[in-house]
Amino acid sequence: MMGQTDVGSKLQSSRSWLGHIQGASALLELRGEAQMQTALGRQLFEQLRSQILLRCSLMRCPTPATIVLLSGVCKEYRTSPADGLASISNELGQLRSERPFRPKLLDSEFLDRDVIRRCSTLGFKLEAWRSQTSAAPPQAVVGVEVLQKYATDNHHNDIWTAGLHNRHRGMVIIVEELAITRLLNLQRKRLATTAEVLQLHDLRHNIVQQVNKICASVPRLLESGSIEVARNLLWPLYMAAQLDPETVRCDGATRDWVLGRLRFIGYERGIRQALLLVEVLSKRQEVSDLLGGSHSGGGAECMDEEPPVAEPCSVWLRSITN
Amino acid sequence: MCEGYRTESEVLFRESGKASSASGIRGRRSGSTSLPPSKSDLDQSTQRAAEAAEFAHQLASCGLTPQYASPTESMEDQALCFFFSRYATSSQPINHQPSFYTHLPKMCQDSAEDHTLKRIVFAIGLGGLAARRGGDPKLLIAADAAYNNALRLTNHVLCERETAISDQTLVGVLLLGLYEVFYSISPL
Repeated sequence: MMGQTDVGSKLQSSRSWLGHIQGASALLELRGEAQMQTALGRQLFEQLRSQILLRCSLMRCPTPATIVLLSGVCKEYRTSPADGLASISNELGQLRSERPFRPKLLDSEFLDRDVIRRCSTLGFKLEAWRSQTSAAPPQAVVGVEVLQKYATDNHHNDIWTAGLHNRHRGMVIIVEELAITRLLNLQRKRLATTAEVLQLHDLRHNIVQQVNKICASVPRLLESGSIEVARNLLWPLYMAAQLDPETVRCDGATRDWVLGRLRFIGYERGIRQALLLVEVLSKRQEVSDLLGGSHSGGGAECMDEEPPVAEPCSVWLRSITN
Repeated sequence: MCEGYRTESEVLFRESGKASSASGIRGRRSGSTSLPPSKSDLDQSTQRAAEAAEFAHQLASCGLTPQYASPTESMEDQALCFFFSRYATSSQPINHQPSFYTHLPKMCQDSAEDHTLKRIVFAIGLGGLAARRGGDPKLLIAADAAYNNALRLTNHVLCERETAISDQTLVGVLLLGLYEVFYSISPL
């Protein structure tokens, strides 16, 4: 039954899920700074913030101002490694909302270089976060035996930290993919320098490494048997498999393995959204486009246009209470 | 001391309401079968009976038959136990980071008056049971019905500012999103 339901129904569920996240965002706004006075309030905020940031990433929209403000208040009570990642995520969300995701040949050189520069800054911040957060993740060995290769990540004893590192890897993939598309645009226009061509190679190599690291973390995380941990694997796995071959070429065996893990999470762990991701990836579609994320039209929106504003949370509250 | 075999009248099954059977069990355990049930016992039994009737009505409206119910546990108990075993207990030992799931049992108790959080947890638990039974379509439909009921209750809670900003409501909305990710089969 679960496998037989159509993509439209699963997409609708995902849209409803995003609607609930928006609703939770509205409630956080209503609760205000007072919610940070209790440990439970802070835990709930942090839990929801990660989902709100995921929503922003999927919809390619900036983080709501309230969430940025409340993050600052939460930090006054206690700091968490997730704070740094949230802050970088805010910047990435702003960049993705301002600049078209898919560059066009007619885009100006200034626009291409501006995106590359901002991606480079984000890349440095992501690397700084990684080096500050617990032990360095392992270097997975790229080989033919996929299963052997991916059964190696035992470094993060704390599953929560392992999940954070996977979020970090997903963000690295987004940032570097974005930079590559702009470098390729410069190359098409014969404006790329030698250093930029070399940079292209390094970025591609790093993305493949991030994919391997995500895969390496999967066996132990799934072994934990936690349904929540399995859910947290969905988007890192999606990021690992969604790469456009024209941008980064990952080996087919790795992609097939990732799809197999998503099927496992869908059928064995009963998380239906994993099956949607399998279908979307199999058809080489992009989930942000299907969910109605901004800039989905292949870069029609250019820098002349006003950047999109974060949706007011009160809209959801009105719609659900009416 | 052995009191010998029970008489036939003690082991006969009788047609009786939940309230009287509950008080009967209580009386037998305390060894004073002649005592009438207290008012609080009757209130609790009536409430349980009302909840059971409501749940039975929900299942019946989805075409479910009693074959899904265990002889010892109601489907509601099974769904709630499934949820708490998969979330509230499993999230604690593997994460160093404290999770709100550990607070859920108490929050469900605290929200006993409006039942909203418990209804949401029930919907997710039922969806989980359905998935565990190979995507049992009848259970999935029942889970969706429970989810829609939970949505309705949440809407009601959101009408009042005081209840809208409570921890229970926020957790409820978070869990409603979880249901969509996991089990929802029909668009809203």
